[in-house]
Amino acid sequence: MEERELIRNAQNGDREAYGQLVALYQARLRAFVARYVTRPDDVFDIVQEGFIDAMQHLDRFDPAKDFGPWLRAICRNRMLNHFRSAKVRQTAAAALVDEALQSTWGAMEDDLEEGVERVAALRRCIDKLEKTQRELVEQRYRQEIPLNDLARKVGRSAAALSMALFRIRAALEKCMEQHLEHA
Amino acid sequence: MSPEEVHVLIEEYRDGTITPGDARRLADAIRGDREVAARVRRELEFSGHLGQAIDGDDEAGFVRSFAERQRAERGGAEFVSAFEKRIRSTARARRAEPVASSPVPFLIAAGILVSILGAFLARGGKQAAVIVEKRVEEPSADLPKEAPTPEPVPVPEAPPVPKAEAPEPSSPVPSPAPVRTDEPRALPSPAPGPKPSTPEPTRVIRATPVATIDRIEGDVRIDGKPAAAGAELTAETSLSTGAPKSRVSLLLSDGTRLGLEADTALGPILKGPKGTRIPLTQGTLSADVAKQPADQPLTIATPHGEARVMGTVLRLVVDQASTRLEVKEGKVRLTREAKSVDLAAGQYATAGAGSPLLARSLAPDEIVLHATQAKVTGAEWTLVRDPRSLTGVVLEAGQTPFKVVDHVEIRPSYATFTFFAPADKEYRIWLRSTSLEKGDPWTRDMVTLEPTRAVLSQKSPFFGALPTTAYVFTGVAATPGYTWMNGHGEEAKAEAAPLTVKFAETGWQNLRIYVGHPWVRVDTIWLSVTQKTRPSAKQAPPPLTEK
Repeated sequence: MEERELIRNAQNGDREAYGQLVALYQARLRAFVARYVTRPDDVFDIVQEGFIDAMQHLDRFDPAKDFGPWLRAICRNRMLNHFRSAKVRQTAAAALVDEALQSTWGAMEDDLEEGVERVAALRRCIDKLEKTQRELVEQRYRQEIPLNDLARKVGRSAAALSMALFRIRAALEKCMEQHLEHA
Repeated sequence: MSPEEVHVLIEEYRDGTITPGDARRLADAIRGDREVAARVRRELEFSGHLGQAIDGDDEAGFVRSFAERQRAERGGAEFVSAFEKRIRSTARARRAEPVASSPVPFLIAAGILVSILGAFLARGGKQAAVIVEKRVEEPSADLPKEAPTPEPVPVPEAPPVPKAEAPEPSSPVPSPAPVRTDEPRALPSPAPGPKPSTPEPTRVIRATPVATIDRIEGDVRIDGKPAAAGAELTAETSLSTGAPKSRVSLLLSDGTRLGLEADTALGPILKGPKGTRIPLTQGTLSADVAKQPADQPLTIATPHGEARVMGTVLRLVVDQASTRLEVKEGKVRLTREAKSVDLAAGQYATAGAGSPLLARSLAPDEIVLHATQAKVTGAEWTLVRDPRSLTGVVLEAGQTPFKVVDHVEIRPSYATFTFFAPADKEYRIWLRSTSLEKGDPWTRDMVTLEPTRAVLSQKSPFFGALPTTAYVFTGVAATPGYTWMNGHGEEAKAEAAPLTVKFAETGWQNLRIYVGHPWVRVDTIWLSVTQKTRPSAKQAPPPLTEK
């Protein structure tokens, strides 16, 4: 079924059609939100809440227009609410950085496809990492284990671990860029 | 700032262990150095995408989880709806119930009689079941103590392929000072913050249990331990809810029903010869309170005072500085230290340092917001003196890097007005402002207003299809001196259809203003039910302000 037909059906209350739209757009929106929100669980939540908002206001969407930018705008609002929430600002110091970062965001109208491609390329690069490196990356960037805790866990100093992660990230970034170029 | 240094600071920022000094340095660098800003953005984007890449694209899992969440959201709505229905039906039933042979209904009836008598003697207020809602905002995080900055980390050469891992630096490197524990965010405890006033030192009968958990949703704890439906609270136990979407319904032994929303902390409920005392230190509480005997009121103790409930419908809102009591039906006495005020239906009062205990209307026709009442966030608005204004002080717009079409959600600087307004009134929005800019009128005449949790009668043409209640007021510079404006296109049309606002819920509302063009000065915002046409330039709103 074509996307426009899915949208029309969803607007008529077809939940299955809406489920297919969720499947179609979830990766793109998660990649978009992940540019601004680093915790994977938060990204997951924000996109899910965005889809719930979109479902509730689906009757306002003009099916003649592109669905992606509309969803992106909704997720952007969800994301901004997330940042406004005092809960994500663990300390006043972090809030200083939050505010400075938000001043650089501009319109937040990123290309939805670009993010998906970057994530896909990164996934291939992560597969090439050694097991110990992959575990470190997973513990730090998926499980969000604080650096100091992770350093204790792996028996290294926090500074050494930070530097090791810096190197792995640099190599992954290089690998990702190469993949994107070839693509 | 080198890439390595940015990486270290960003990792600390993500962990919440960044020191205030480093945070300021990083924030200044982001604002002042485009290269650093781009590097920081890249670093964070990469972390986010890395998390997604490791997470995997589990499309089926996401859709399944979404479906479950939908069901949960619907369940949540049903929970609230069922709870509200039960409150209403209980209240109705209680009003209709005949006096039975049990002594409890007799006491209730006696309480009702005494309450009615008291109310008629004092003010003639209406008697009804009680609904109490109370909100205590979480204290904002203070700046942590400055920790010593770790010494620079030696940086070996990066490997060319993602195989090699960095060798350990040969010299010992001090680990960054504050070690963050990975414990989940603590549930609100009844202890912290200003303590509710302590119970009177009379003999307290500690009846157990005092309450039973009726329904439960999300993270609810008794004395810090997970609670379940059916669990009983004694006069020595505390109850708290986590966040978000956690809630619990409690039934007290006298038939009073309490509903605690997320992030709420309740101290031990005490029943004694002088009545029932509920200490609430944080969160939102709804209650359907059974009629209390005249000499045994139900008292809700807050950090700033206490409300004695005999038989009313009311709402209590508590923040760090004050307690506000809003009475919807009947009559309630609010006491702070030695002073008290009796509130009738449709009135509210604020108890707190510097707030006079005065009864005010809950549903005013006129809401007047002067610049002096605004809370300024960021650097774009400044309070300046201007003798031409109504109060002598105005908000002046400074330079902004944002365009007027940028969504206000992304803007870090604004001024906020907080005021009470009901949901059932439609207010015309009048803005008294001027512009000092002498150049092109098209670049000096805009200011953006955003009432939150509200519906506007018109959508701002500046924001297209964006779901927003922000509205760009134009034409500020069309007339010399201060003028009242209403919405878009004022410079072209003598009287466009006035922009109106209706708030989604009765309660405390926020209205934010954002800089459109620099050197616009905002004097007063007047929300009016009665002022249907644009006020003349010199017309002042009625002398009625909401703080």
